[in-house]
Amino acid sequence: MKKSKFRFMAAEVILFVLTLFFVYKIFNQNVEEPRVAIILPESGDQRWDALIEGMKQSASLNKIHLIICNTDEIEDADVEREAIREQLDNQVDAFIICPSPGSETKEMLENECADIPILLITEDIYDEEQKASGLPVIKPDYYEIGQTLAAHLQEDGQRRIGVVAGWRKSDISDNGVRGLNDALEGTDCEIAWYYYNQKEKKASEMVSVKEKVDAMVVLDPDALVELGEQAENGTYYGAEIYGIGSSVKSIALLDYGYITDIVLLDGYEIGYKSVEEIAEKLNHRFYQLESCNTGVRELDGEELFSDDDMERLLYSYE
Amino acid sequence: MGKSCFQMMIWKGCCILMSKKGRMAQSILVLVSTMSFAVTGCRQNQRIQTDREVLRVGVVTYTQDDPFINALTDKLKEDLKAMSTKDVKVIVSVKNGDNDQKNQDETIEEMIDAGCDVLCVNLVDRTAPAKIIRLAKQDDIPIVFFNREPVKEDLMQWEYLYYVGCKAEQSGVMQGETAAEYIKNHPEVDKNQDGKIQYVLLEGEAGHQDAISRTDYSVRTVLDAGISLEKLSYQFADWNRGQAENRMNRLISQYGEGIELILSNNDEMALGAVEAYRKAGYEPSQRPVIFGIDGLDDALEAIKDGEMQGTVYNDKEDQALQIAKLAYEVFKGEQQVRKELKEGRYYVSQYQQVDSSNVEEFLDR
Repeated sequence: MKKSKFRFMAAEVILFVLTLFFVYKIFNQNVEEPRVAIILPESGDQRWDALIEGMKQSASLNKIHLIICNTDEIEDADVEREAIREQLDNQVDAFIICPSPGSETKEMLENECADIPILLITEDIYDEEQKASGLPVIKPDYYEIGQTLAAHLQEDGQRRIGVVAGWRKSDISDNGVRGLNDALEGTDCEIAWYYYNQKEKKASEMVSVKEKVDAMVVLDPDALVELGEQAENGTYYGAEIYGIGSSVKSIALLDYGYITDIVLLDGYEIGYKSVEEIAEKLNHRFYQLESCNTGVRELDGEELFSDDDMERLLYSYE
Repeated sequence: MGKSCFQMMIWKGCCILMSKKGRMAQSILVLVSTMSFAVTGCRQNQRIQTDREVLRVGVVTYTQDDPFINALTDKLKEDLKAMSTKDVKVIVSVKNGDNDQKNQDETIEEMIDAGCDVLCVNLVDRTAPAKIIRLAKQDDIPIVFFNREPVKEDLMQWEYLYYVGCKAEQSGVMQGETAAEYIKNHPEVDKNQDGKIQYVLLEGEAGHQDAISRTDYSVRTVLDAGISLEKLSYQFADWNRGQAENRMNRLISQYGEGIELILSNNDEMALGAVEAYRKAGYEPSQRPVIFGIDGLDDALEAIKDGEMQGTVYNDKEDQALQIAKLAYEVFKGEQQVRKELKEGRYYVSQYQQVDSSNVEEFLDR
């Protein structure tokens, strides 16, 4: 009698566990993937190809639904705010954002995304006193990149330098220029001028009226391609070009000899890690998003294809 | 009776809540309601409305490597931005299909997912817009196709599908007319004086409707003008300058100065031929006469410099403006431009002949 009662109880427990399991499975099947909005300036531009590729691969592994926002140029915090509000209305669960230039972007992001996880990519936001935003960010170390470029300038014996620094008050222009200046201090290299991006003006046109220099350091990847293409078309005045590249076009220009030296950002890694990090946060409510620096690759025309890992790198840009 | 039963149930429920066991249930109930309120509250806070109306236009081209399409897209962007007012802000996002219809379908799906009001699509494969149309129709997003014309049956599937472009036959006829006139006025084109013009065709893509029409009408028009032709070769160069240069390098080494005329389906390939002759060290007088289509800036410069003899101007300014007007009008629900369209769907822009006599006029545009 006791034995049969025990069997009955055991069967009941097993049935109960199975019921729970199937109920869990049924509801789990219908759970929508978390929606993550990606805000990049000119999201269709080829400079984002590797980054978006990395994001998509990571999203498919981490079961994240990516929404790559349809954007034009994002010149200031107001434009970025509009894109954020639209996606909040689109019921997204988190944001991955390339911050707009200007120190007011931090306050805007904190206000608009107070209740939702946010991760910055490619660059941080700095205030007037050069203090970082404190928001989680996945990006390369621009200070180090500035120093690396300075070392190449010295190796090549360049004397008078012009700097195309990108948008004023951005991570690239602040830290990249600082790294460059620190490394060139006390050397024979002299910086003749700086050019900062201006709305609706082409860097190539603005630079052509500047004082002639031996070399230009182009910290803005878009301007690098623009100036490289100018050299390709034979309309460029002749200074050797060093800079930060982020597209396959910049590699091609290096290969053809229109650019002397580039530090290539690993867009794929930034994209992959950013989605992985945000997925961790969405899956574990109490997880704290962490910042990290991604790798860069120094390339010059002569050693371009001697690197075994080059194929993988170029593949990520496809 | 029913009412007293219901009252008893409520009473019993209250008793349970008041009891010791019930207090726990009460706490859980309060906790759950607070949490659900907090969650829904958060979502409602996120629904922020903007005061200014925003028109989001998604432009998707077949590739990012076609200079004519890039120039047209830049102009379109400029025109759309100029339509921003204090009440309507126009945001333009440009992407490309990487010369793969499947990629283009995915890109458009992503664009729709992210929020888009009007799509402007330059198809990779003009015969395969079915998925794009289905996706757009589902979300009620009008499409303005441009440059590559979908087949009529596809375009007539839904009332919010339009096409802006040109008739490929017209460009072929005009290219043929320009070439015939030049040959008649310059007998030295027939270098070997055999009464026949030995020619090479540079074609876009095998089986591409525009390539077939341009080639067919161009050659036929030259023949109709009473000029005898002898075809040496035809080469497919995928509308691309580099590929055309490679093909021409081979033909130059094979025929040398034997080629007297090059008819190219577009300017990019014509410029590839110019580059091949330049690199091979041929003086302009030793080269064949070269005719293209599109009116690219580089081609206009080449005509001015005497390296090309003519092109057919594909009016990108006119087409960009019409696409922009259509996109804005469809968004605002107006009918002004739409009622002027052929069959309510087509805007056909007119080509224009360009040679050394009028090239300056086009360079100034």
